[in-house]
Amino acid sequence: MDLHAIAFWSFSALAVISAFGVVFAKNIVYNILSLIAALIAVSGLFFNLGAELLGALQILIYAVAIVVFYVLVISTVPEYKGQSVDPKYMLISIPTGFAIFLELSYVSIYGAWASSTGIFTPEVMQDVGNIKAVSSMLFTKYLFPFEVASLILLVAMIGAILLGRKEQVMEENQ
Amino acid sequence: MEYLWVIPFSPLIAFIIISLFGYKLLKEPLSGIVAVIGVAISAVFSVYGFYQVSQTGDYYDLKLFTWMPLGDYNISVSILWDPLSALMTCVVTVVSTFIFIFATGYMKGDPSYPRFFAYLSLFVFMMLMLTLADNLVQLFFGWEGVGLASYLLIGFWHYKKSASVAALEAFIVNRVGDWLFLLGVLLAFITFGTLDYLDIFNKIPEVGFWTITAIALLLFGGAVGKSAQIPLHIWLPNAMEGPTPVSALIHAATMVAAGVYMVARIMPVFASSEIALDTVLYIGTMSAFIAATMGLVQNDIKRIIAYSTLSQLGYMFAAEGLGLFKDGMFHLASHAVFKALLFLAAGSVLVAIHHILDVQKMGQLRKYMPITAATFLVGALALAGIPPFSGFFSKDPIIEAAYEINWVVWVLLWSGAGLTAFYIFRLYFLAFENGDRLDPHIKSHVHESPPNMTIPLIVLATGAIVLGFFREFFMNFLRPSLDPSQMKFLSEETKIVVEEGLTRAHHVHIVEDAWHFLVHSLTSPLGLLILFTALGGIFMAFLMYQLRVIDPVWMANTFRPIYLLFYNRWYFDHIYYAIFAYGYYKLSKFMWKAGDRFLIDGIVNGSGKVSMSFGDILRLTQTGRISAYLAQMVVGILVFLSLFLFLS
Amino acid sequence: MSIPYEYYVALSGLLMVLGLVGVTVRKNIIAVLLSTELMLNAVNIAFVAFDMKLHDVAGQVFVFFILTIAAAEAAIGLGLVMAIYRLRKDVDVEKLTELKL
Repeated sequence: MDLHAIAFWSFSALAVISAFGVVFAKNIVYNILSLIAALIAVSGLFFNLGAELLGALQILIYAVAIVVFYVLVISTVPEYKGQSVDPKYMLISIPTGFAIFLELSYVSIYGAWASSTGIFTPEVMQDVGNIKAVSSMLFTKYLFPFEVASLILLVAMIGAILLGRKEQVMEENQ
Repeated sequence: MEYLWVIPFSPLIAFIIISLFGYKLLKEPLSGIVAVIGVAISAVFSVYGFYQVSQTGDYYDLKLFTWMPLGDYNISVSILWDPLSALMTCVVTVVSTFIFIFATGYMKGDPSYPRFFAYLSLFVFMMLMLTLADNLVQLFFGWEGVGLASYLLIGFWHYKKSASVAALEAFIVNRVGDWLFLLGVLLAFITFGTLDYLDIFNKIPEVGFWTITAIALLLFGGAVGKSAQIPLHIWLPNAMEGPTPVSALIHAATMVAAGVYMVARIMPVFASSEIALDTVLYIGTMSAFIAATMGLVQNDIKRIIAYSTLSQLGYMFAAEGLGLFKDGMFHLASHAVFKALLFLAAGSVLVAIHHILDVQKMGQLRKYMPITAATFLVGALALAGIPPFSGFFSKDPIIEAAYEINWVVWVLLWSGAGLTAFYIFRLYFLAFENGDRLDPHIKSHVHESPPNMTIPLIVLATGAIVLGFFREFFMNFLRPSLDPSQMKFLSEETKIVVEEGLTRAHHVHIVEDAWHFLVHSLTSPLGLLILFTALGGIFMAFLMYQLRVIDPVWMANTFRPIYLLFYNRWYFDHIYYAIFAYGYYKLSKFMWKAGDRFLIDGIVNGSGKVSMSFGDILRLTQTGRISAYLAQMVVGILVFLSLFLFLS
Repeated sequence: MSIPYEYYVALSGLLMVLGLVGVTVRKNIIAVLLSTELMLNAVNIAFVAFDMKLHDVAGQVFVFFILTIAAAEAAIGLGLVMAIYRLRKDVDVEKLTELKL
């Protein structure tokens, strides 16, 4: 068992356990803490896979920026006191979800893979490094989607501001 | 011969001018004058062309322009100018000219005066496209075009229910024939690969007997519809709902003769099939006889003449079936003149007595309308076949020839001649002579028609008198078109085939010179028999309707079944009504009950009920809760994932 | 590499299913949003695993876009949660039944 395998098993165990926490923990604060744990585990998996740029971004954007949103919101909205899960939907979705999981793993383990045709072989990666490879792709071939993504973020920002300010605007109108 | 293109397009230009400016600029007298000028120009040109072709006996095939390319074959708009088409074109244009002049008087004061002349010009254009065609598609174009013009003109007084119904009837009955005709054209195209007459003729020897028979019979089906032969004759008497000039032009002189013309035009095709010729012969003979019997007992002045048209067209077809194409075409020409004359005289009468159609309500009209009466009498004598009028020289040869070829046909044609003489003189005596049955109120207004109506009558009457004496000229004139040994455009093989087909008429020798024919029929027993039959018919009409020695009512009661048979027009209309109208109605009712009410409504209502009950069940799942929808979505993902996994 | 990429994809499937279950069963609307984050992460793992297997970087570029969209989604989603809360004083999914007439 080499280091990669140990890292994979431990990170994936952490990710799955935290995911259970996200889904089934009653308190919303525990949910968010579990989500942070899951995100860090996923980030570890990225590093383990060799995607250093994404591993770093995962922690920077997800675990910091997005989770901060949630924390801000739960501090605004009072604590939710009702039943955390609905047993009648658990009855449907847990067996169904399990079946889907079986099918997905069946597909991923026994399915036929496409042949590796990409130019970024491990040797090339060793040479240029993951960050340079991804960034060069991002700023050349995917430049237009990149710009569109920035627009989407702008729109989301404006939308969030409008949604947050709505009450105040209405009061002014009144 | 390039000037020939003027002939069809001059009426077309008149049509366009009248339809564009008729109501706004030209108004009543001018649009009629434009139409008359349009048709008169083409009459002048066609008479000149007729003169030229009579000098040379040649044929000219002018391709004006390509209409549409069809694979290797180009359908062209063209003019085939040979004696046959020259004769037909002259008949159409000259008779049309006089009818147009008559119509300017007849239609006086009609609110739709320009429309009438626009339609008439359109009709003449279409008819000329038909006669001048050198291929079957152009012929069919003209064929349908005259059908359209006929429909428009029969229904000209569209506010009259009977007129619009009659127009529809004419159109629909013609469709039956046209459908057969179109099938014939298609079959000809498949068989010959071309539709030009001259190419078709030269390919006849290569084609099998049954194929050519099928083509000929299908094309003849169209002729039966257009020329109103039995069993598709029912539309023509009802077509008399149109204005009288229309009846004279379309339903007597020209359009209904298109079938006769078409059969003569593609004579080699018919001549190469024994069966086709026999069919033409028997259909024509039956029509000639049955229509004559129907004419005996009608009371509507225009319908009597209409039935006589049916009957005379039957004679023409019979002549063609006997192989006497030249006699058939000559009868067509002389018939066009005297039938137009009869119709126009009837129109003149109708204008004078305010459109009372019932002959039983006329009488003594000769006193008030001497010119009309005299010209009508000329037409009636010509129709009856009394020498020296044209009908005698054109109809009697057909009957005499029939005697030598087929005695059944002869009996029917011969008795038909007697009936013809009887019914036309019954009409003459009832309308112009005999007792005074006119409504006194109308009688005070009766007067002779104006000159623009009587002059055409006089001209046509002159034609009906003198035309017969040109019998020999016409026979010789038509020879390059209808005598296989002299047809220049036939190949030698085709000539042999056609000669063989026409052998049935080879032993018939009718004197062609008019004077000798007259002497011959006044001396030979057969000629005298036919002549005395016609005179006997006239004499019977004289006894029954002028002297009243024999009471017609008594006759009708004595021979009641026969009278009823004739009066009800051999029950053709009833049978067609029972089979087509009522049968279709019954079928529709059955389909309505079985198909519509049970099947369609069952499916529609049933599916409605099923979806409603399903909806009732399914709406239980629509809780409006996001979680429920998401759970359903998860199940759907599972189902589709499983499908992709286990089915592919 | 001793761990086959298939295992990563299977793990991604498990996380995805857990997210699905969470979205379905949770009543608190904020928890539902958290579960969607879980599902997005599952997809990210699958993308990166495929990328490494196929020797490409396009998948990682897409993960980058997914991060962007996740940020936008969180901003809008939470803004909506705030709006809903302000309107109804409640964040229970069961009570948001406006879809039913």
